[in-house]
Amino acid sequence: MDKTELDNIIKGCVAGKRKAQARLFEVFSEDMFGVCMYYSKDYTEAEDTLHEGFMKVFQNIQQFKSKGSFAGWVRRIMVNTALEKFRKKQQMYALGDEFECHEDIDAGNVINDLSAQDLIHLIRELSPKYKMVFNLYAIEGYSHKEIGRMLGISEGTSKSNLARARYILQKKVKEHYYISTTKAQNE
Amino acid sequence: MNSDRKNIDKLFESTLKGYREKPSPNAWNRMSRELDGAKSTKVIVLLKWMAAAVLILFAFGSGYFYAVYNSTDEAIALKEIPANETTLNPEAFDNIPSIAVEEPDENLITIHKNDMQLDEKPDIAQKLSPVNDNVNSDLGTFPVNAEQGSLSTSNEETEANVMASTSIPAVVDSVKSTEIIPVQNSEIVLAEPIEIIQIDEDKLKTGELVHGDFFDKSGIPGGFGEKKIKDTKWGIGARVASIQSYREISFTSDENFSQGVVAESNYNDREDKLNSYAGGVDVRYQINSKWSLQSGVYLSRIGQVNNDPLAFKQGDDNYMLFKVTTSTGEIDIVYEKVPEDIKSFSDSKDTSELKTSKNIRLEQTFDLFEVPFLVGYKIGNRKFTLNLSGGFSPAYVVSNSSTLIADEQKHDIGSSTNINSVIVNSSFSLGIQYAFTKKLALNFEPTFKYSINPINNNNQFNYHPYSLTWFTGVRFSF
Repeated sequence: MDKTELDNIIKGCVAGKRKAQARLFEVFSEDMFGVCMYYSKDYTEAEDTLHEGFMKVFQNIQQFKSKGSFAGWVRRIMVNTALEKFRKKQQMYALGDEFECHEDIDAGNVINDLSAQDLIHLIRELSPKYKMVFNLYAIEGYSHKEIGRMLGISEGTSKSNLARARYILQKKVKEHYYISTTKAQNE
Repeated sequence: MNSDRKNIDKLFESTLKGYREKPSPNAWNRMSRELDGAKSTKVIVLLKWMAAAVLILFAFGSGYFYAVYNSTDEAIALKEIPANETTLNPEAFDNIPSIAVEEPDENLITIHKNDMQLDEKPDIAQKLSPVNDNVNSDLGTFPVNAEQGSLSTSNEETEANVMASTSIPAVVDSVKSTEIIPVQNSEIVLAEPIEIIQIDEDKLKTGELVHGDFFDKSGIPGGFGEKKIKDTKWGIGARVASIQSYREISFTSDENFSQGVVAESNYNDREDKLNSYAGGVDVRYQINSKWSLQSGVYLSRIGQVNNDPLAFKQGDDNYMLFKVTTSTGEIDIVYEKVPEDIKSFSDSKDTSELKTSKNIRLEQTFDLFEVPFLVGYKIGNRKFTLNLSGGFSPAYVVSNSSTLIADEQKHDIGSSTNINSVIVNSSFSLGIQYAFTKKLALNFEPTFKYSINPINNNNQFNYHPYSLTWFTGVRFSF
């Protein structure tokens, strides 16, 4: 999609035109649903997040400044919608101390054998707060300071949670790889 | 180990960053239905606002016209005035000092042109007699029929009305009776309700009222002399108020917008208005009959309530409160001040959600010392007046505290960080004042204030407090 077409769609959405909104949804829904998938515990919750996120996009689209990437703007709204759902569920946070991972697990060997679906499945097995911190840090690229502010936790706690999330994921990746290779050998 | 961490990050980032998945075909239909609902909701909200605006305008309009057209003088309908009410008692005037009265002018008619419509009834003026010389001039003078020694006995209804609306009220209300004017019960027949001017005898004694007041309640020159209006220039008052304080949060920059949309929604879900009190004294200088300048000193409390305030940090087997993030920024909590039964959660799994059976909320309060500078405009010049005022009200934040309330028990646990020491409120009020006397009045003045500058210096949100203050108080004029 070229910039002119996108600008026209945005203008149409600002004016509240349904065709423009439908087109915007058509263009961005797959990318954004992919984001929602690894922030949500299952398919249904991912659809809810997508729905709420797009409602926010339509309701606030007049505030988008054309300086930055529109796709990036929509993506941030999706991530923040997922965060909002997360925070609503967590009335109080139990925040861990700095976590030290004492066991080295080499996940490098199995990198190429895991699909996106497998990784999403692994992420979903994390506790919500570990999942949030890991996604925001490793995939979205936010700093611990930013994550702390977004989740209402300290910078140190964000680091701690990331360390624990990494440890758990490494362990799960290894287990997954072991199970996969064992199955393949047996077959 | 470090490279391993990077590997795991890279694995997920590279695989999931561009991951796409198609939502169910029904997703857009659901969205479309909700967008339709949102549109109709907007229309309903707009209609509600319009209805509210019409109601408010109607209410204020009614009040205004009531104040302008319905004087505090009591209108009573008299068909007959009983003899015991119209028989004048000279003792009523024994202690009344002499009133500075101009010499009665025989040609002076006590009837105002607007009341009389003399153009339509040119004969009436001729039928009214000049002032009776027998009437004691200390009492003021009353247009009675000299020849008959009484009020008009004319059968002409118009004439009777004129007499009633000009001279009788003063006699009936303030001059209880006198033998000088031998009014007979049967002699007064009034076809229509008449207005009686209330005369404060104390004012009569002190000379605040002159006889011109008897005849022209609106201050229009008439009767037997000009009405002397003694304007009070200064007024001082004391007021108390209940306050509902709210806040508006806005993003400090465009970069914060996308994050802020969610955070704002989140804060709005958790944070609520604060009900509190204010009080102070005010000073008013009346420039003229309409305009005034107002100032004073007030202490007021604003803030907000956080209904879901707690964040925890784990320490060994206990959970310690350490910091709460709110829309103003953060609240630093003094751990030792947190009650034991709240911080002594025990949960071996730090990944699980913690619940408490206690009803916990956190109040952030800011105590302000305000010195307003306001311009006022008065509508109406009688007992009931409407007062509009607007201006600025700089406020110094004298106190900033956070109170944890657990099952209605209060614990002062810390203060908000990054709070400015001074805010400047814009202020607008619309009040009603009722004058008990010329010097003492009761007022009720709802006031809206909005802080022009944010109270915080947070780097994500600007927090602008605004409040609705319901002032009630008394004012003494001198």
